[in-house]
Amino acid sequence: MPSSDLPPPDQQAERFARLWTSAQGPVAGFIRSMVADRHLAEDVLQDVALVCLRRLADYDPERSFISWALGIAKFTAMAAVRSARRVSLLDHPEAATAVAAAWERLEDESARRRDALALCLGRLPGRQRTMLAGFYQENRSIVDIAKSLGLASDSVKTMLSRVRTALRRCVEERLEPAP
Amino acid sequence: MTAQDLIDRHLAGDLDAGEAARLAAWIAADPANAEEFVRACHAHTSIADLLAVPRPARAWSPRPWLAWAAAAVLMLTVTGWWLTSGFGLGQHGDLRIIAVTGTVTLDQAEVKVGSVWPAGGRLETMAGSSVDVAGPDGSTFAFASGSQMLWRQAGHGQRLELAGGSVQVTATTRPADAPLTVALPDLEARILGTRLRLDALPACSRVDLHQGRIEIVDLLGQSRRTMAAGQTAWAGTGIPLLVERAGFWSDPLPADAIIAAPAKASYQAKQPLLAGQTFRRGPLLFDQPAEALRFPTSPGVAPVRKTIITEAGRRLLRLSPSGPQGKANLLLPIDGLPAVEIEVEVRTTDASQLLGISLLGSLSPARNDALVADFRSRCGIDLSWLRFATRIQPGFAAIRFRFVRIGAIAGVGVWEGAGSIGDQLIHRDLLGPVPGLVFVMDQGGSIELGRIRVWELLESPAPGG
Repeated sequence: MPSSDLPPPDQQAERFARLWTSAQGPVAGFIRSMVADRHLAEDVLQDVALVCLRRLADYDPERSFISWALGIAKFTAMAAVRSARRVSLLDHPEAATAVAAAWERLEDESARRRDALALCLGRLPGRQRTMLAGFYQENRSIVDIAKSLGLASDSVKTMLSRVRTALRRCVEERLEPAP
Repeated sequence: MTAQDLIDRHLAGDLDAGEAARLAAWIAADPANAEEFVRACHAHTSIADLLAVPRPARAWSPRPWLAWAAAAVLMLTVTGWWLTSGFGLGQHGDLRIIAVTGTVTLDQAEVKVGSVWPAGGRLETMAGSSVDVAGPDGSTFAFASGSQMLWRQAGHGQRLELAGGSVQVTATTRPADAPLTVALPDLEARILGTRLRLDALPACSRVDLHQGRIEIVDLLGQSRRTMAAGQTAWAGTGIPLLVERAGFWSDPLPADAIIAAPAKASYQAKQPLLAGQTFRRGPLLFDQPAEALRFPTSPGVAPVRKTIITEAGRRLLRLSPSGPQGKANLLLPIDGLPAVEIEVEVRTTDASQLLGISLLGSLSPARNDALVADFRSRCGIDLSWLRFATRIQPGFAAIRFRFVRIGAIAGVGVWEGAGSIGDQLIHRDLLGPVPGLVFVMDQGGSIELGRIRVWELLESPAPGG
């Protein structure tokens, strides 16, 4: 699109905001699923948003914006991970493409899945919730959590794995249509 | 390492390059795999986000099962009812490896018979492996495949921490201030002298008490339960504390059970059952008590084969040569017998290894897998005890499976697949007489047979005949 045909900046910003709102969930999810380091993942997400904004003129409205943004996310994340010299699934393009496609397919259910997870989390007994909060929210190591709970590290790993399995099952049960 | 293990390692940021390649290959192999990966990642990131959001004061209300869940973290205290006088204990001293099958490591170095297991050492049995350990006081520990265990001195006593797998303990008697403590993720047993088995299963912890009596106290001190020899205790995430008899069915069917053929039962019109044809239980042909068939904890198939051949008793019980795909068949021949009712108790410490149970030649592997998968989906992952009764007539298989799950899972009651389901289980590939009962098990898996009983079934006169 020639620059003279571009919409005014305020209209362009509004258009981008509308499109990005629809794509941010799967794009952020994709990045966070491929980049284990949370801080690096947040940086990548910001970079992707900037690239999408700058290249908005290249976007073909006939195509899915989510798909387009995921494509940009894939290459931006690859570059970031290589730069950080981290082991990553992004070194395997076929897997990265498959994951991006899955995020797009599952976009519709992600909100329901999150709501179900919130309910399931609310039902966890206190000790398991404390363990999850330590690991996921406070970024504490398993060794550290084990010390504070008076358990062996392997036991904490086992319990975390069990809690995740129980949550997965709880979420699936909640998402199943009523008979 | 399973795909789920790799995903967990990925989410923890622990993947090495080789594991990343394996996980990537798994993801790329099937869109369903990619979706499973995405769902796991979505849950992972959502947990962190959701935990950061303060919950509204009335976001949820207490439910009865939560009280049970709170009770799932337990402490087992063994009291001394059973204890006898005189104890040759050695409170201090290292443990020693007395038998090894397969690959067993101590702090990641392979161990051999005679190796010393010092305090603080981490012992691990690889898939298909097992190890027996003896303490200085004569106590013995038999670790199953896939066990991870640490031990340390704790005051005058000893403490073993089992993070995964299974251990069978025979402990000598000890004074109260020098207990042997075995800690599982959900249960802790302070052993003063008894014989019991402890399993850290994927979803829960379990204690089988073979000898003595113990008292179970939940950590909050809210309830106490006495556990007697022959009972099993269960607890775990979302699984309420349960203590119940661990033995075989007292009587799976009424003694005079009448088995009637379904009205439309037939097998490709070749072996029709007459509508209303009935059988009743006749003489007991074979009765192998569970104790006589009890194996060391989680043996591989080869020791099982040897044990069965040695201890089978009056009726020939044999294990067939390994079949394709690493499966092994345990045959209980019924050639020449009339219709029979067979009751078998099978136990596996790793449910995923039990691939199926079927009549030889009568059940396709796919159908059998579907049956087990159905059982798994109904009962969660608690498949470690599986009981069933099967009735067989030579030339025709009218199968009546009956599964009873031990150990309640919240929201799932005891489920029985009783009833005539022969219509569903009759298979097109049954062309000859049915020679026996086959258990399909992975060779690397671990099984333990309980009691086996076989009755002759006698045909009852037709109603009014």
